[in-house]
Amino acid sequence: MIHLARTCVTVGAVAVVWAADLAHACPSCASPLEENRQAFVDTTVFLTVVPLMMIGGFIWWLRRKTREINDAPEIAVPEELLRDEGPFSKGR
Amino acid sequence: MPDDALGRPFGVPARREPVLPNGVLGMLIFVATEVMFFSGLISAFVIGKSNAIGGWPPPGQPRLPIEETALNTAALLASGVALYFANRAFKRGDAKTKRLLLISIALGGFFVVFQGAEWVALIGEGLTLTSGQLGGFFYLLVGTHAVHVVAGFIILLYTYRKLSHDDLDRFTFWPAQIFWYFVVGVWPVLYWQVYL
Repeated sequence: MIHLARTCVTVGAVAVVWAADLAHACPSCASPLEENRQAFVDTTVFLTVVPLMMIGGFIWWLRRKTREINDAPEIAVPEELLRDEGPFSKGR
Repeated sequence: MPDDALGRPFGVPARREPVLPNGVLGMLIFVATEVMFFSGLISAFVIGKSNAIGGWPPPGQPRLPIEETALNTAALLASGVALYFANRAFKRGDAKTKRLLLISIALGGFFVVFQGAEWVALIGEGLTLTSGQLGGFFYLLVGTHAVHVVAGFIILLYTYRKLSHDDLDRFTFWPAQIFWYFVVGVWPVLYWQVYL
């Protein structure tokens, strides 16, 4: 089974490399302009990074906010009670 | 049944506030899709510009008004700043909220009117949607942004109306702000790419 999987991965990798060469998959490869090639690279990086940053930033913010809520006391207790040495004391 | 420190009966779970109000989450998701939409348009423009034979802007095409639009850009940015201070005043329950929100709306309106005047002048000079690559990209990018500015302007007018009736809450004001900050924030990028 592992042998079959390895064979499939190898054949797949060779096919992808070979097919890309045949199809000229990269649209900027045919362009004679260096500026155009650079624009393709820049926009590819831009369009890759922007969604990752947005989703990553949101998850980071959500995690921080959730931690804040989890660390807060379950029941809102008046400050004067927290100062006492009673059952709601901060030192407990 | 004995009560807890706040007078609630024991066994009743404390009600927690959601991490993010539904309206804010919805607006954030919408703005994220808008960011990708504008990113796609800007990327297409950058590639189109780099592919132009004979340099950019294409020869024989009208030049875009850089200085006048810089003033308009400043007006839109100032509108965003006014909205920020309006929000701070709103949080404090300050009466200045109304005035600051009105300034923000007025500056947004100025931007729209100025853009309209600019378009009329450019069309008069022969720059149309079909006059070439510059015209096509210009009206597509700037026009799409203008549609968003008009939408944001209407949303701000709605929040102002609610504020005037003492009916504005942060669950309405917050999403409206997110949308306007997006509209304000994307414009300098467009100005840099399209005009400069």
